[in-house]
Amino acid sequence: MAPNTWIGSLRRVLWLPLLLLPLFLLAACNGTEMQPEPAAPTTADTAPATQPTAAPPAPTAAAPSEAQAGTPYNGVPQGLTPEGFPFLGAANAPVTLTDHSDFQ
Amino acid sequence: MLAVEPEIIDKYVRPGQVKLVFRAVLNLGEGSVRAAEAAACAGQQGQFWQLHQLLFQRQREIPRGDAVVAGLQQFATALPGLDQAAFGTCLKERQTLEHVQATDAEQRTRGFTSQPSFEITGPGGTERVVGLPTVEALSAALDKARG
Repeated sequence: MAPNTWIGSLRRVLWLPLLLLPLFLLAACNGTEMQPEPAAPTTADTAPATQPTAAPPAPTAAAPSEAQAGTPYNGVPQGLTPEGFPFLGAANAPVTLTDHSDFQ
Repeated sequence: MLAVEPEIIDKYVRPGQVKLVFRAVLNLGEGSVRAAEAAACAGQQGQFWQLHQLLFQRQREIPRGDAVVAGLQQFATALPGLDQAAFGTCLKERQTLEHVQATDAEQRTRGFTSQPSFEITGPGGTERVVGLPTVEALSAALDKARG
């Protein structure tokens, strides 16, 4: 009987931290969730790891431009003419508007 | 063109009445050539118009000289659907240079030497517009071309 009582007490002692653990984790997450989440990927991960390849500045700097870039063309067919020029719209549209422009 | 493009697209291109074609003019040296090559490289992956708009929106940020290729590659990273490795190879190997130069040479023989210039062709005839038109002026020319 004595060993059983001792084991029962030990079980209770061991379960107590396990029962309290979720509460600690919950409290820890509530307090720090908003800070480490953004801070870790932007500063710790992207900057040192990808800076040599020049990848991070472009996505962050150009992200708004990219979002705007897609909007006027959404849902509009794109393709290449038989001569290899890019076009927008229906390939058999009755009117062709050819834009001759310099990107610079 | 970028200023009037969205309205023209919504009014004429999206409903299927007008096909908008782009041909690069190379008037401003190496930067013009490289940017046109980059757009053509993006076009190989069906991303021409996305890069086209990005280049015009950030035209003044396009680097010059030796930095131009790296700068254009950096621009292209904003296009999520673009295979960056293939784009970089296309740009570095200058896979589209011949096409870009031939286009410029051909259109110069037809008098397209200033930019922007527009050619509107339809059942109602052909009209050429030099300089950046207003939406109203371009709409009038497109309506006329529809016949």
